[in-house]
Amino acid sequence: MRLTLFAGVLFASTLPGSLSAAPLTVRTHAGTGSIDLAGGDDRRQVLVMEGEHRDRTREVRFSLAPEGIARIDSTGWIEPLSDGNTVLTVTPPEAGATPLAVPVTVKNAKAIRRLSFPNDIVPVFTRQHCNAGACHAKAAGQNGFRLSLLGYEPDNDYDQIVSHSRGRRVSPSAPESSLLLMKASGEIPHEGGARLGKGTEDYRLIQRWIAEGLVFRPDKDPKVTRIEVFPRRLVTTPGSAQQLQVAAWFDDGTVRDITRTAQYEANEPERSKPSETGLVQFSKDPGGTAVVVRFQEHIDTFTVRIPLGGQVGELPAPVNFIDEHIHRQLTEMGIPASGGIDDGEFLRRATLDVAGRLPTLEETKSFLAESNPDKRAKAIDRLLASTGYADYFAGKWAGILRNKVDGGTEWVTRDSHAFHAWIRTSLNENKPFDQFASELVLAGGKSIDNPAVSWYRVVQDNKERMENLAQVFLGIRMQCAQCHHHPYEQWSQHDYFAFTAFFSTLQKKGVPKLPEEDIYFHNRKPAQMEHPGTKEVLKPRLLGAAAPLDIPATQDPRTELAAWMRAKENPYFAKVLVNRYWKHFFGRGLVEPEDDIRPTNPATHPELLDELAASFVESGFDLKQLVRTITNSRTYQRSSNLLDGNAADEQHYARFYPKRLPAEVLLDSVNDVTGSVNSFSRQPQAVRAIALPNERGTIESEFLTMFGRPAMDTACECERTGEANLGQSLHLLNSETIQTKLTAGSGRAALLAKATDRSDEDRVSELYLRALSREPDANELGMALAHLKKKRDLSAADPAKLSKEQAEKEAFEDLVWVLVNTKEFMFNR
Amino acid sequence: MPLTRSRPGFSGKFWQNNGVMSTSFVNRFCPGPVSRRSFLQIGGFSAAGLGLSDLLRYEAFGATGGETHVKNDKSVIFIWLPGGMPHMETYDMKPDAPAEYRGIFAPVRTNVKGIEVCELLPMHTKIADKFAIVRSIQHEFADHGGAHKRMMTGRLPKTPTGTVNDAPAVSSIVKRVLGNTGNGMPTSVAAVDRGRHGIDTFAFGPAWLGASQSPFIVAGDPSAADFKVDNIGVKQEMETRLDDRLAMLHGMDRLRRDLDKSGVMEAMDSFNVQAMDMLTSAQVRDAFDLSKESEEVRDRYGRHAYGQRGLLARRLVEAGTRFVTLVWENPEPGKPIPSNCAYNWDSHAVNCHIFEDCKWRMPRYDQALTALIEDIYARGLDEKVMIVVASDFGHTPKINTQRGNQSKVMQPGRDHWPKAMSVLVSGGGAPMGQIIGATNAKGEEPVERILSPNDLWATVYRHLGIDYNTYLKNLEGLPMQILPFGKPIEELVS
Repeated sequence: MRLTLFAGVLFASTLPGSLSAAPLTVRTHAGTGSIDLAGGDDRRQVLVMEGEHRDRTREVRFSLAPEGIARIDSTGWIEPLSDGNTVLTVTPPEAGATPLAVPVTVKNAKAIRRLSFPNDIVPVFTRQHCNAGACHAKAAGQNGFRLSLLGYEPDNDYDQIVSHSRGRRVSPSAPESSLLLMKASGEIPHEGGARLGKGTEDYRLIQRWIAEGLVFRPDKDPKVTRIEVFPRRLVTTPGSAQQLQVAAWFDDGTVRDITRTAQYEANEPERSKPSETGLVQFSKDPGGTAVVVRFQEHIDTFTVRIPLGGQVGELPAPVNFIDEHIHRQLTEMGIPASGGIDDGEFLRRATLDVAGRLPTLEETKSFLAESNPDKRAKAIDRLLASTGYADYFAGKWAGILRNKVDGGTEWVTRDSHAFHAWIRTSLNENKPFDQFASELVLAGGKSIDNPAVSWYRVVQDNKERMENLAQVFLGIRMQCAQCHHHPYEQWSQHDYFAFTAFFSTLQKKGVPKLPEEDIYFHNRKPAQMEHPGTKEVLKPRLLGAAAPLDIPATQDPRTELAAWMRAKENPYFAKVLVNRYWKHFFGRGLVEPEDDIRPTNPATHPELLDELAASFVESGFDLKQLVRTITNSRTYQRSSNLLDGNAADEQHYARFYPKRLPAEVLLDSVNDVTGSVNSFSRQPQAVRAIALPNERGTIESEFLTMFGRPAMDTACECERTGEANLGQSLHLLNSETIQTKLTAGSGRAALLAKATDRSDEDRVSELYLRALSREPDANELGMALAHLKKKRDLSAADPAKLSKEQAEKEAFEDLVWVLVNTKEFMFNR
Repeated sequence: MPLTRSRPGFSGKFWQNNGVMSTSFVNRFCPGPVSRRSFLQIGGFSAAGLGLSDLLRYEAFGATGGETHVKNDKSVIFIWLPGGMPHMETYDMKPDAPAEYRGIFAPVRTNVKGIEVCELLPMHTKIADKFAIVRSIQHEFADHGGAHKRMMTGRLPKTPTGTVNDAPAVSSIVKRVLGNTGNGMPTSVAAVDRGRHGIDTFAFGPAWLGASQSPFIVAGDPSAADFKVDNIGVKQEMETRLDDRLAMLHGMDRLRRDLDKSGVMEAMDSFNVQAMDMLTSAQVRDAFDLSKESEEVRDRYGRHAYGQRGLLARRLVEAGTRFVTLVWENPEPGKPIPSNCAYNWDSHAVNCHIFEDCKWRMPRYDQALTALIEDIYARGLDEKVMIVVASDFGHTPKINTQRGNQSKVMQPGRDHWPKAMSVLVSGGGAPMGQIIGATNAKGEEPVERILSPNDLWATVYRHLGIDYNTYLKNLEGLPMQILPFGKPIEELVS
């Protein structure tokens, strides 16, 4: 990362006597000092900053004297008029403040450059969303007019405009009557509405380009090498706004201000709203977010943090580096942290997160009674050593590694069981994660000998294999780059196919009617892929590498891929893994979504992410150690309760964010509380839902489908949904399934009803401990006892209608029903 | 827009809680006459206004850039004939084709000049001015699985077999875009035979839209004496217990909803209210209760699965449901199927004697469909409601004779034929009494107005006021056009 750009700013002028807290600086993309406009097209965004973090551009008054050399509007947009020297006076609104004077020179004002279609016109289409995927960049175009997505193929766009539709789209003799302008300005009906008002800068630009004779690229038209936004990082106040300044560097050494031709896109529209001219309005909520700036295939990112500025108070001593990073940012942001959780809350949280289940009654009781100060760390170790850990995380990996049967044969089913067992065993024995990934990537032979080869059975297409690998193990979503340059990343189609080439020699030797005998092997030929556009034959090239690899035909190219992936210096591999695990425990990734890590999607805590990744590498890719590091932290053991000052926090871990129990965990937990078990086909009786190996369980169980267990169709964790829906409510409130669990003769309610030797309080308490790992409070106990009494009274009044035994049983059924329907039960908080 | 929404559910912004839970619950040990609804309304949120639908709308439109949906109260009854309606025994008769093509039935005239239908559909002949027939829809998927997915989703399926959708079915898209009805009625309903009611049996799957967008399934034969709709209405004694339970839940479920900024907790509460509406609201229960209809009306529709399902659909759209799918397979699930007839419309010779099957099936089809059309018109619902009858494909124009699996004798049948099929449309304010498109002399393929299933869906979306250029994001965050191609059938645009 570059040094912060603020370092290069010089003060335009000293301002003694200014009322401002910090001195004002006046800046264009070329820096501070004077403004030198060269050529009639040299326009600039002038930015007036107070200190480093307060934009005052729209508050000051601009004036130019002498007049006639240049003009500037109230937003700070300056344009040349004629050659000469003038002075820009910037007057702060405060009474008595000294104005700043900036010399302005204009040269060659009459020199108008010829417009270039790729550099000047295509960006207009992008800004105005003409070439958005929803409009003219649809595969079929819109109303016969098709543009390339985000202008990635200017040749095609030029052809569409100039040659197609019998040339009606543009008319150099009368530019205003060109269909292109008449439609875009809404003069004639346009489904997309009036996009360019007549006389706007964008309109005039296209008009001028048409009048200039539809030149694709004028002589010596330079190409953009990079773009840069200023400022790149900002710390500001809630509800404020910042004007951005964007410049493009060209291969002929020139620089242009593209503030008004670049496109701005907020990563989280509810947090920041960029205007077309690069003015970003921030929401009133504290937090951090980013705006992506795009020009042609180039991108840069503006990130902002908005501190709450509250009283932080005392933070507990950090347990490890996680707490250090989190506490530092809480302090910077001025957000107070909630307190720590009690033992019952800890045990429930950690057991659910590490072992995918509720603590048993016995575990809870003995943990609460234990006095050892290390007991939490010990409990974490116990959970990591338990089968629950292996089951739970194997389910997670089986999902994103797509262990799907997909209506396959009996053999495929067995195969999927073996693959799941391989994953589970790897986790159970804590196989180093780099080894796990490497074994998977290098898998070959028969699935019967090497279950990892199943990955290649399910994911058969080489492109999809590459995409899955990139998303799961590198946190890169390559999908977009198959058809066009990635809109948020550096990846091109070239990268896409050269990376896919690593799989190009992987072949399957099928045995008819004996699919278990299929052999996956490296076919000894040079690895290569054809670029579908250029037809260039591409050798395998690692992501980010400058040159392709020369791999002899005798060597399986996947060995190079695996070695690169697991290398300590690989910038992606460890990061996405720790981010994925972080999300598992905290409900959100340091980068969100967790498998979409890219410069345009900055982490909330970049240094923490780096250190977590480094410590994971250092530990020898030890997954259990990673879980220990996370769960032993104060941050993980923080209460979810709100403080006045941290209610709005959604990304600084000032408190623990409650998470819904995943479908499988919820089902198992309902079973544990109601005293019932699962029954799935091809699985042992009473199998836990977290131990289900493939997507069959989801298809079989309406519960799992309804609560969002994935069908394993994608490598994306997002396929698992925590969304609420009507079906879930109907299910929990009144379904046959739940009713059966509640009323079973051997169920919890029946057992408690029969345990007449125990006090009511004791029995209610047991239910609370089982479901919520805590005792009921006085209110809750009062309500439960009142309900028991009500049912007994009903029975006493008319025993023929409701027997005593039935009344007891129903009362406990009702209590169990209530507990599993509370949010406290359905969430890990 | 970011490539992927970080939160798949509801954004907390729309679920801002006004405060903590109500403390006005005075006597918490004895709830007294407090409505069920109020038990479930916690905090500032109320499901009464159902901001939910607005929210879904917001999200659905987010990707389009411009909202062009028209808010209306229109609805669709989509009648699905699995296996494929034989176009040459119904709406595309070819009496002049060679004997091995034309079959044994004759066409008969209707009350509209130029429209003829099969003689097995006598009731159709009186109301041809109230329907339109499209003879020229075709696609390329000859397997039931592929054809179901092709028809149901308006997309080219990734695999040509299997009925698990890789893209959402139209019934789910409609639900997603239109949101909730606001009165407890489900937006999208599918009525199917019990045992055939899995979401994937007929490619109804919501795919990446998620389980929440599945249609509400009504399983079973509504003409059966013991017919009961799952999740609608609860028994008297259970209702009392539910009241007890809800009262206790209100007292015990005290976790602050604003702990969860994702808004899921609030959404769960709102769905609980909606679920209780469905379970206990008299209006909803009545909408599903066919006994509210007179014996005459029930007889007119026909006392079989086709007829009573048709009647149910009419009641549902009247009550506010927007998209009703009726699967008409076995007309009389309670009775044995004659050995030379098939369970559904898959009239291969191995499955049935196609002509005998038609003789058994068609009168019920004729009765049920014409009753529904007449009823919709008689009630003045013909602008509001569009009825569409379609199937996975037509059948081979040339008859194929084979030994039947059940009948054990040689018998005629027709096989799968996606190159040609007939689709019937009625109401929806569209011009009726017309034939659109034509197949060649042997009924093999369209020769006029060649259309795709997507043109049919574009017509349906238009009727519902849904902009079929709307984009919804899939799991990868890629914007997916709800209908990737196709445009409304001009002849059906009023």
